[in-house]
Amino acid sequence: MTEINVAGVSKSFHGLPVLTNIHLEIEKGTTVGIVGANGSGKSVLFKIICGFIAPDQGSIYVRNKQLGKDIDFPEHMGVLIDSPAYISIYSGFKNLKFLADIKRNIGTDEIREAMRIVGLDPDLKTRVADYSLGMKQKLGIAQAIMEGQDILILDEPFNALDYQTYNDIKEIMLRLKAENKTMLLTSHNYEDLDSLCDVLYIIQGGHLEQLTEELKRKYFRRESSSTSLY
Amino acid sequence: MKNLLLLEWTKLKWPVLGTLITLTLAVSILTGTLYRDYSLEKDLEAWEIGISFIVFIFPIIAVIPVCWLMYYERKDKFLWYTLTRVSKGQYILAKWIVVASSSFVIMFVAMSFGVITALYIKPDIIPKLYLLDSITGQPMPRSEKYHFMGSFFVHHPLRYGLLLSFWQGILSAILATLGFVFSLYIRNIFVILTGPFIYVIVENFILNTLNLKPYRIYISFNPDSYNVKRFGTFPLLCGPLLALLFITFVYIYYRKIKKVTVYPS
Repeated sequence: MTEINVAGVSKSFHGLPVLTNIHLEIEKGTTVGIVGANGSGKSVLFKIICGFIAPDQGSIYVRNKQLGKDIDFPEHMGVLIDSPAYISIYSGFKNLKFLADIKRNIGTDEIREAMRIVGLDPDLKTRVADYSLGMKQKLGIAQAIMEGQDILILDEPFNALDYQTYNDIKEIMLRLKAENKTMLLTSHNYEDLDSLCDVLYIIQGGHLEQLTEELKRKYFRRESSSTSLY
Repeated sequence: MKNLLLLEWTKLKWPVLGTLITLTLAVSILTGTLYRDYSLEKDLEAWEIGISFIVFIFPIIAVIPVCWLMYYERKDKFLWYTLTRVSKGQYILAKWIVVASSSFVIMFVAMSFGVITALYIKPDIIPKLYLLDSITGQPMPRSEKYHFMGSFFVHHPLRYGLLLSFWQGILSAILATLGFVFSLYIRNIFVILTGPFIYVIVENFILNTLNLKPYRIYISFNPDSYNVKRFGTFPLLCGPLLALLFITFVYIYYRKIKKVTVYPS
């Protein structure tokens, strides 16, 4: 069953094409990764899938409902876009509580559990402004999973993490994958996603194509110390 | 909607309750003390003297406890995460309802306590009446003749005070709405929190210069010496109407002309 269907999406900013005729189908329970350089359009594609910005052409279907027509925003979708965004003067727990209280379909126990899963202390009173980037990323993931969302759209979840936090978050991703969540992830680093994803795509020049072994060899040379695209 | 209203109230309750308690104490103490230096005829005049400074800063009191939150939610891009949970319109509507009603409650409750302090808590004023009623020849309070709604003020002071407090609450909600609209489009917290105060100062200055003093929002907020027989009631509505027009102008300017978006893009 197709959970997300990106049908011929194009987007330009100030006349510059960022995405050109993107087609992507994501099946339920699969983990799909998109690699691409900084500024290649990964985040724009994610924002379009989430309904945050409208495409110039094409349509997005989430569980067969068209965004902007049948629904404004996808339901039961956990989202981590750009850098995690929280009200900086409040604690992590309070931020999650504010979000959970919009629908009130979970209580404090579920919020605390989501924080524990990602390795954060729900009783920590520190303001989010004083969180490290890794803690903010973890909080972003907790926010995306706390309401039992079954589609997760996580943009650069491994961005700028230290080794330990990187491993923690990778562990969380593997656990979510085992729970049969449908996940769409991005990274500018191919290795971040290779072991996690069922299907990998590369986005460059506004075009999306499946990352074949040939393309892997072309863009991510093994002899290099880094497998980052840029 | 009920969930959203509760949520917004949860976010704002401490600043709102803090301001409510502080302002109520300030109004009550000022009402109970400042009148001693004046020669007064009616107890409620003590309230009018007590709130004279509050009247000047009421646009700041109306805005500061409630309009800071939207600034942070926009600045920190928190709004991203609300999008998949609630529609933009519903979220902003709930925010505005809580902002405006909280501002109303702060002003109404604090002013009402001032009225109660003036009428029932502070020692009674023993008036010396020099004005004589032209018909009966009996001494009468000057305020009955010269005060705004003099007869109501003299004979039903509690009702007068509570009604005026209610009206002051509404004016406070209107200025909080102006602050809220600023917070939707402006990324400078200083402008958001002081903008409505500056608007009132500028409006006051312009209408004074144009010799349209009765039309000022300050007069509408505290119409003690307003001559309703001479000017009618319409000028008292002009201040709030001008503020509403200005709110509409700000909204159209940022949304339609400058095309600023509330949500991050």
